Amino acid sequence: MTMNAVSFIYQYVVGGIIFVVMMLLVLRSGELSTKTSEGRRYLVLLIGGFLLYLGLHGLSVLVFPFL
Amino acid sequence: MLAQAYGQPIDHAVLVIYLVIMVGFGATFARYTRSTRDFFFSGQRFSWWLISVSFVATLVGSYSFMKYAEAGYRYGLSSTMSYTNDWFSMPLFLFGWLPIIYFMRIASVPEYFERRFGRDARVAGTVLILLYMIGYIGFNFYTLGKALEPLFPIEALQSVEHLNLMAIVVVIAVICAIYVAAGGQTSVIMTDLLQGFILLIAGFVLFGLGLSYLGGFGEFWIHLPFEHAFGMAEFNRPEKFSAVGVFWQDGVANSIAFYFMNQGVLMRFLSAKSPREGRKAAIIIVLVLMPLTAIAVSNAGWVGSAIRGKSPEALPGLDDPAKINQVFVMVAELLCRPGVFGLVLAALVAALMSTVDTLINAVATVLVNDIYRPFIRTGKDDRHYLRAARVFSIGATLVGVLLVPMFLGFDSMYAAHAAFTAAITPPMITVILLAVAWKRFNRVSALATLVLGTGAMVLSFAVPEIITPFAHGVPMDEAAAFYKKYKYMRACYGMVTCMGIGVLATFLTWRLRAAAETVDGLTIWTLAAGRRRFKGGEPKRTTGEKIRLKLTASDDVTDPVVLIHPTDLARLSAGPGDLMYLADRRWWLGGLRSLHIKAGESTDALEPGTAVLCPAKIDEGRLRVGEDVVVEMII
Repeated sequence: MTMNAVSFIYQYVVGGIIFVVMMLLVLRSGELSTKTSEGRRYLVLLIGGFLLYLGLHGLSVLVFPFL
Repeated sequence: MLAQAYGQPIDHAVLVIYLVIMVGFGATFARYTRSTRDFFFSGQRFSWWLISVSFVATLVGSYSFMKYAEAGYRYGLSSTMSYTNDWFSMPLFLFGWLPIIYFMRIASVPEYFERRFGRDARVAGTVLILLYMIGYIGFNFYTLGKALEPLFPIEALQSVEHLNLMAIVVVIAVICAIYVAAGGQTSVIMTDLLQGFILLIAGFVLFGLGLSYLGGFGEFWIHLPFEHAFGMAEFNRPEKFSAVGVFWQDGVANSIAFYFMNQGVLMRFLSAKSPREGRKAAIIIVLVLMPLTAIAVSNAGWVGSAIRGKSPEALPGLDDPAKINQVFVMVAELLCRPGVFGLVLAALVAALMSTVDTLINAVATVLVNDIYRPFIRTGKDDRHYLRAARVFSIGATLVGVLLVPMFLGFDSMYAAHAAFTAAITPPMITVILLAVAWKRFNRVSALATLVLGTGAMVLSFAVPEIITPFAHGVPMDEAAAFYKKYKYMRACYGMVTCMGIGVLATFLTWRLRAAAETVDGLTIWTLAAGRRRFKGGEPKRTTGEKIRLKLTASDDVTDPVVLIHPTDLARLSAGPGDLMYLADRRWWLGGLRSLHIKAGESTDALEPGTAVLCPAKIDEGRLRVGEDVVVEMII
């Protein structure tokens, strides 16, 4: 495993913990409500945004350099 | 000796024309500024796309093209890391901080501190933020002069050291001061919108020309050094550009500071027509525009690296390691025809100006709202404060220019500023985060975090070894000056230490229950109260359709309300007392001609398909009688 891959794993584990804590705050406070369609859309968007960056960085570290 | 001049006369002509257009463009929007609300927040009326694109120009600051192109040349694609690690804190920004400042009509972080913790916290916050921002204006002017001096070596000014640089700074400062003082936030947003487009277009034109020069993307990829093809740097090496360092310094501390604390950024989001629109803008910025911007500002370095890989004799200027920081200009000049290079230079100037203009406007906001209005001249009318804001804009520009010689003359000033900003950022953002997320976080724990946290940061400059347990194996550069030791990992130390102080102080003062007025609407748990206060009634969480209605003026409407037929109100899911937003039907105005107004009592006597207002309100929103307006319910 390259040191670049370690960077990727670290960023998304530690960054992921920060992200999850913030998501729990907005969900438990009711500011992001899953009871409305708009709230569910935002929930998908927030998690999707996280996964999008995770995917892009993963590809840029684990796949693209070896093409 | 006269330095080497980059570009042809036609390039310089393109740049001069660009500057003239900017002044005219910015000054045009002065007529939209009639109150301090317009001057600071553009009347809170803009659409998400206008905020998003203008934000790109604010984000790309002085030296961005130079700095990230240099990083791209030295480290490859990992130069994009700083622009692609902002998502982690977005949930709290979008659903906590943004609605709090919007609904509570909070004009600045110090104002938030006063309402949440009392006047002493406001004073501490004002001092720290003003020092940070005014110093930052001076620093931006300094980097602006440094970036442009090699492009405009004026022979007549070479006899006195730095005179050439100061002349460039003064010209740009005068241009910024004219349109910021005249049009405030509206002019800033509109000029930044134009500059944002120019930045992105110029960046991608340069990338296209680079790929064409190399013979296509395949050739570019083949000649890019293998270690430059990774999108993230190595974990903890080298000290100057390690992934863990960039993550903590940029992805955590700087990102949170940028979105939660930077006055210019707050004001940009407060200019949105609603928090929902601000949210859309933020999502587009972080998910779409930031990655694009990362490519736009970095690619000259990648292309330069690939060109050198293919033809080592190309770009001979890069043989000198001291000139690698000019890789952007060298690559641009190699790839661009005369005239096109002028456009690239315009993008460089756009990047410089658009950050400074936002800062100038932000400093004027803090000076008026946090010092002048509450402490010096209370109870004056709005026109008085608007005049004061204009004077403060010019004053902030002047002070910024006066700081440039200090940055030039003493390297330690640069060091002091860097060290100072590094020291105040973690305590400030920790206080904001805990204040928003935790009702129990009180005045004592906030002051403890500000004072002890700043002390802990100062201590880390005196004894950098205390950062070692937080350094994740990043080596300390023993030979570096004190402020450069662990300059990235200091953020990790600062965040953990300040968070620890804040939490501990809160537990130690657990019995101090906050009064309702210090938390209502000011934490994520009490935002409903903020919405009620904003609307002046019970808020609605549902949204209806956006509909078009014909605008009609009537002198019979005496209250500041819009009258709409019950059928149309039903389509809008609105009722009397709800806050409505009326905008010119031309979407591309982005809300420039628009108005927030409450819905009045509705009767069947009204004509369906019309919106009836008094002439004064129509004039306030610069709407056109007899034309359609797009209407929606905000809250």
